Amino acid sequence: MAIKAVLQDIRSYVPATKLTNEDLANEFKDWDVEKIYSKTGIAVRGIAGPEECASDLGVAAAEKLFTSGVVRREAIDYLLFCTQTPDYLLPTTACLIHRRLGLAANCGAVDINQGCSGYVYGLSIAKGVIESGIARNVLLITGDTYSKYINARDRSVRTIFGDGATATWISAEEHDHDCIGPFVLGTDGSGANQLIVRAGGMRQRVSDETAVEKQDPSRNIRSDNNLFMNGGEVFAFTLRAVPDLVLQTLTKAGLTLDGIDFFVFHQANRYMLEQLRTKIKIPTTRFCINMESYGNTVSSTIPMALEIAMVEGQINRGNVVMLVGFGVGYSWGSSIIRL
Amino acid sequence: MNEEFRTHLAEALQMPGAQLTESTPLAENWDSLAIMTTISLLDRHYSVVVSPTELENCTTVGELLQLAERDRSKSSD
Repeated sequence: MAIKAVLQDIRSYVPATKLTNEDLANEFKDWDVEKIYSKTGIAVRGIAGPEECASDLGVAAAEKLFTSGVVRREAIDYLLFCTQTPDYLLPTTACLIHRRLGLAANCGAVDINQGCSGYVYGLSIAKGVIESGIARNVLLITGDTYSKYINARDRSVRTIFGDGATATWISAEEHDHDCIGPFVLGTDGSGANQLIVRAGGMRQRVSDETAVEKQDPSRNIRSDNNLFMNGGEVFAFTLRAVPDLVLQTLTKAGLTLDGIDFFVFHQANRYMLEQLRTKIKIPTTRFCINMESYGNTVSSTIPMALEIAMVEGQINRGNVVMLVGFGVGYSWGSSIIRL
Repeated sequence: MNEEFRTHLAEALQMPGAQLTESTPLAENWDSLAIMTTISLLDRHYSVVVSPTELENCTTVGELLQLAERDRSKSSD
C-alpha cells in the first residue's frame, strides 16, 4: 500500500448569459444555422458577463463543491488554477481565488497556463504533489472566458467556444494501485501560430496597430488582439496526433481499447470527435460527446463531461476512464483514471 | 479513384456522385467545412493527413488526389 492520488468529485459552472445558434443567425443573415449545428454539434454557449472573469466562474464552481459537503474548504492544502484568461497579468489568479474561497493560509496556490490539454496537465501535477507527500487535498480549478478574446464578427470561433469553469477535488488515499495515471504528454510548438492571441503579452503589447481589424478570405473579421484559429490546421493536427496518443497511453497502461470503460476526449466539436472516434475504432456507447449546451470550454470540457457522465450514471465507481486533451500549443496529454 | 471516396467527396461538394471525375473543379462549395471533410476522407480512404493550406490551393479533384499520393509516398519513404 502507498499514498495514491484519487479523483474524488467535480462540480462545474457555466455563466447565465447564453449565445444560441438562433442569436448567431440573427446577427449573420447569410448563415446556414443547420449546417453549422450539424458540423459542430453545439446549440448553446455560456458567455461571461462584462464584469465576469475566469476567477468568478472558478469560484462559483468551487463553492458548489464545498456546498455539496463532499469536502471542507479548510482541508484544501493546494490550489491549482488552469486558465488562459487570467484576471490580471499579475498577481497569480489562484491567489485571488484562494482569498475569495477563504482557504487556509498554509495552502499553496498557483496558476498553470494551458488550454485544451490543461485538465490532464492539472491532474499530472495534482498526482505529483500528493504522491510525493507535498499535499493531501488538491483543488484543481479550470476556468476560461475565451469570449473576451473573440471578435464579434468572427464566426469561425464564435460558433465553437463557450465560457465556463470546473472544480475537481483530488485527495490522498492508501491504495495498492494507481488511481490516476499513467500519463502520456506531448508538445509541438511549431503549431503555436494556428491557435493564438497575438497581442497582449510582452512580445507584442496591445496598441492602436494591433487593434486594426482585417477581413480574412472567409469574411471573418478580427484584429491581433483577438483569438485566431486556423480550424483546418488544428483539425489535421488532431488527426495526426490523437490516435497515436491513445495507443501510447494504452500501451503504457498495459491495456487494450476493451479495457477502458469510457473515453472522455476534449470536447472540441462533434465533427472532430466523430472523426477521431471512427479512426481509433472506439464504440459510440463508450465514447463521450457532450458539448451541445456549453460549446468548447477549453480546459473545462473534460471535467464538465466527466461530471455529467458520473451524475447520469454512464460511469460509476470502479470504472476505468481514459481522458484525452489536445489543442492550443500544440499541446496534448492523456491519462487513465480509476474512479 | 476509390468508389466510396468518390461518393463521399461528391456529398461534401454537394453534387451528384456520378458527375464527379478527376477534372471536376473545386471552386464551388470549396469552403472550410468541405476542406475539413476532405481531409478526413483522404485520411480514411488513403491513410494520409494532408495540409489544409495545400488542399485549399487545389483547383480540381485530380489535384487533391495527386497531393494525397505525393504525401503518402513521402510518409512511406
